[in-house]
Amino acid sequence: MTSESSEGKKVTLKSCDDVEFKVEIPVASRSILLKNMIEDVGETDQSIPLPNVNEKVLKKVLEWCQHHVNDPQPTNDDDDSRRRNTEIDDWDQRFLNVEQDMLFEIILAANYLDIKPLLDIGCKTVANMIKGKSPEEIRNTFNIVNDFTPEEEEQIRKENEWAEDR
Amino acid sequence: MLTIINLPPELFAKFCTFLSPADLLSLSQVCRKFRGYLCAPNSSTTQQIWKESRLQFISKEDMPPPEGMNEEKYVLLLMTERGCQICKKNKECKIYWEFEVRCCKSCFTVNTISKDIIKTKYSQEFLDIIPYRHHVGFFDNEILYWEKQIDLIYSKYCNLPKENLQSWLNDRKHTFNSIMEYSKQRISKDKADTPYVPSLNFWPPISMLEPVELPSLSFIPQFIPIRRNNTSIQSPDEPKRNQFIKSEKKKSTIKFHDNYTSSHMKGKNFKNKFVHRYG
Repeated sequence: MTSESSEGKKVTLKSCDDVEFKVEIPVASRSILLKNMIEDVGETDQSIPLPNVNEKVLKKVLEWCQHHVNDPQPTNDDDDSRRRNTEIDDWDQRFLNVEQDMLFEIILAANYLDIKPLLDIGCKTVANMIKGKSPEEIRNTFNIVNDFTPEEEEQIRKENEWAEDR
Repeated sequence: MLTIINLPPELFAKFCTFLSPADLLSLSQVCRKFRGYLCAPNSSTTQQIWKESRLQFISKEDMPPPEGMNEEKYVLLLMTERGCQICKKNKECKIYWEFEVRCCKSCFTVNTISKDIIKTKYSQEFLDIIPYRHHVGFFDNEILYWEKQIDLIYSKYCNLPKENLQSWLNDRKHTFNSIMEYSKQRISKDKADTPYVPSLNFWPPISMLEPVELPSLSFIPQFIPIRRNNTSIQSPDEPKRNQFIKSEKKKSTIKFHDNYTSSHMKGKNFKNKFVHRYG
């Protein structure tokens, strides 16, 4: 299945709903999990099952990997600077402009597949949705039910009277 | 459907690495689950979340919290822009590390009590373990205690079985020493951070001071510490002191605000500092 030129080497990924994707190795290697697997296993015709990712999400994640195929691999040293930089480039912003459950699916998949830069921009996107909002606004944004008892709520209000006039 | 609520906690922790202490605080008030994640003094993950947020967003506060204080309480104490924790009205407030409280002048006066008044009521071994603050006035010099703190510790002291008393006292003494030492360090850090103190001359010399209220500074509304690397405006040769202090004060407020809100705009120094702390 995978053995023409060294350039076009491909690997087959199988989503949890049994859909196969043929992907060039450099693209799949954006995922550290897959990169290590491919290195360990060597060339193989067998597809790699991904029990935690469905077709829709895998397609989306692979789209990101394809676009970022030539990015340098992140190193641990970058950790701080990446975190400090809360900006997300235009392409990524458009890419993550999806329904909330899709966004969380992408984040989960990036975490599972170990694609750090994707995980980072996903988390940044969520953080940006939280930033500067009051608890009530956060509840509305994410559809969260306020499950505090009236007593707890009163307690919280007392603790934070100043927060109201922020 | 997948929502933020049913994501695994480690991902929640990841979102938090991009959030300021104020945002974390809002998040902790959203629902019970988030509160559980963010108000957990015994969870090392929670402590790490607050610590990273502090180092990243209030970069001048790189000192660790006093022994025994959790990161969350620490960062809440550091949010001076939120004003007095007691009356919640006055924005001009100051952190009294000995009492682990941030309050305004009048709440300080109301809640503290002089040693002269209470020294006959308590035993010496008890008073020896109660954190205090030197108050140097124009005419007097007194030792002040935080009344509620005394009450709290005293109720523990009284309910102790005799055989545990000595070891409890030893523990307390240790806590006392460390918080008093911490307050001292804080005072000198604040001095280093605030440009107007070093060239003021008054007695006793700064090096001799215990944690004190500086009387000569009482005319300045309150000191909001200025970031160390912003001290380019600091000039010991400044001729007009009053003017200098006033403008300094204004600038510092703005700086602090800037620093707090646009925290992603950090210079190289900041990064190095961060790296240093994380090895």
